[in-house]
Amino acid sequence: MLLALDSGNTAWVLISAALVLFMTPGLAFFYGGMVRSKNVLGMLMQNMFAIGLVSTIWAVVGFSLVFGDSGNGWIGNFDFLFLADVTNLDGDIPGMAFVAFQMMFAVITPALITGATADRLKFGSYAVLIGFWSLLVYIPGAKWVFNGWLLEMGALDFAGGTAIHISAGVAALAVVLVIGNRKGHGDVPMPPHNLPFTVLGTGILWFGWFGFNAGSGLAADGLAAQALVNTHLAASTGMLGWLLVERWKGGNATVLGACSGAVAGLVAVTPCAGFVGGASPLIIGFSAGALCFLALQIKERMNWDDSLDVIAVHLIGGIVGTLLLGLFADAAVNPAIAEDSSEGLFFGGSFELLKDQFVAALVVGVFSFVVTYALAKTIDATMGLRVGEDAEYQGLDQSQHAESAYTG
Amino acid sequence: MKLITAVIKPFKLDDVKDALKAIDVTGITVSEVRGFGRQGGHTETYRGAEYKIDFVPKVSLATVVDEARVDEVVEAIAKAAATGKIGDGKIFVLDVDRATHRLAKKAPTPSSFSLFAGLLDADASFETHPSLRPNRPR
Amino acid sequence: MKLVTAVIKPFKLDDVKDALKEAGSSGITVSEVRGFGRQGGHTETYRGAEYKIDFVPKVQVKIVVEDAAVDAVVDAITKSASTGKIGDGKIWVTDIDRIVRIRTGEEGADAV
Repeated sequence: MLLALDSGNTAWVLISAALVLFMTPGLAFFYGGMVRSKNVLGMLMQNMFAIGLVSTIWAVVGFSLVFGDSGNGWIGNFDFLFLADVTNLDGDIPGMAFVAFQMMFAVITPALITGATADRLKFGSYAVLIGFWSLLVYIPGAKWVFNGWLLEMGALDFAGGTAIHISAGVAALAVVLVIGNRKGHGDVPMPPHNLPFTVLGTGILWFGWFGFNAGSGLAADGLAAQALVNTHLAASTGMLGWLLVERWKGGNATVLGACSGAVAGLVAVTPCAGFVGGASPLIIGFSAGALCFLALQIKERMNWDDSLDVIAVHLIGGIVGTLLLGLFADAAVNPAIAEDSSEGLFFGGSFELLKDQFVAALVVGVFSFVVTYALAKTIDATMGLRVGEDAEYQGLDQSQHAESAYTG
Repeated sequence: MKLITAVIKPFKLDDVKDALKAIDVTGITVSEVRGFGRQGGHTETYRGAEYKIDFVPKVSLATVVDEARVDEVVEAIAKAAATGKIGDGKIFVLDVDRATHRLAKKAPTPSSFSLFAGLLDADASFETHPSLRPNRPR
Repeated sequence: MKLVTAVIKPFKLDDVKDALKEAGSSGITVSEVRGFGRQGGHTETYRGAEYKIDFVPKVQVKIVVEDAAVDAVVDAITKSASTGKIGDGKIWVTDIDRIVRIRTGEEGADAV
């Protein structure tokens, strides 16, 4: 017996799918502003291309491998190959609305990696990398977290702190280790060529994130409103946290800092959005802004050329949100916490949830690192991951795409 | 014939242009340049990492004038461009071996060469200089 | 007094600046230019139509030096701008009749 469709919920999920789609061009501009002018098209292209490629993979096999009812917690099946039979999915929204919403998540996740490898990743190799990454890393991780054993264990992830941000952040590190640093890294300054683009991209990401988080309950209800407000507040305090630490460390309050802090807050609130309330989103966002700024040191110390700080913002932001949820999860906000999981340490629970959160972060992180590293090594050995030295000097726009962003 | 090149503070360009107009120098070629000198640069921040921008934005202007007018023009530029602070810039006077004027049929007046001063500087012939031709489809 | 003008590869500018600083030069003027030469250009595509961009982005560096310092400055630029590949650029030296420092009106060697 199928549930009757709810038009309000359906409308909200469809709109949320559109909002999440818009985040990928937003990310393109967020990153595109930060690279040098000879690489801006390369960066925009990598993000736009993810929409085309990953959407296709998702329709052919991706959705089925995550949400096909295989009866195990590790991988789905082929029931929904080419989106066949998704209309039979039970719920008060059409199965196809759920497909669309989940598809946009699958698209933006590999696109997050592009910030780490900016200015030097060969386009063809990038296409192969994110295609296989979607199949081998994102799909299993999403299955475990949204529809599999990590969920059953009791780990909470409202909209994708682990399967999306930790997974992509760790993958970014793995690819950087294989591809190496940009030519001149550490010797010549490589300042952003168009920070206004980055501000524009931040605005689009922030806007789209309302769909990302408040759509994840798949309903237009009080929890969606709570998630939307949580999302907004964490972005706001993320900005404040980053800027305060930046000032405290003796610098200016920078525009890029305000944008980076807001995104760090958005990343951290992603797993928490529908599970926390009250002052918690303010604390989560602020902590993420401050800690992600401090995490910029990691790449300096390790000499990793994580060019646009995917590790500091997405990996660390994802870890901060995933772990803080173990403290702040509140059954008064979302009764499902008490039924399926355990409450946060500060809201009447024990260390149980914090432990589950830690396990989920660790499992997803280690899995993503191992598979991504092997994948990147394989591509590097066969088709080469990195553009040649001349192409790198010339820039990705001309060498990879035979186009220029700025001509007279 | 002399080529006068001045590197000045960008916000002084209009004053200099007016001063040159006032003494009937009707053509100058202007380009945005960057300079590195005693004025020093400034520091910018990129996600917590500071880096030094040594180069300061400047405007370079060029004009070709008759030898007899060099002093007058140099003085006019110097007076109009001066603020009294470090970084006001410099004026150079160079010899022009040859100036050709192909666009106007009438006899050239010295100031009308100045449009091409940048090209003269690079020792190119106007007729064949590729920058005067469109080079890509529109 | 001489004007040394160099057209170099853009990414070599920082190296050249540092080399000139070391050689004791107190100031240079830089502009973004495009050059057409043996290095050749590249091909771009616009919706399937290919077109050739003959001009390659270059940076032009100008320095005023006293006659005695010309060799040292030219040397410093040659060394720091060289990659050994086609398109490294050129340096030429021209005479300067007169030089004025705008702030003070000083002329000649004092103005350098």
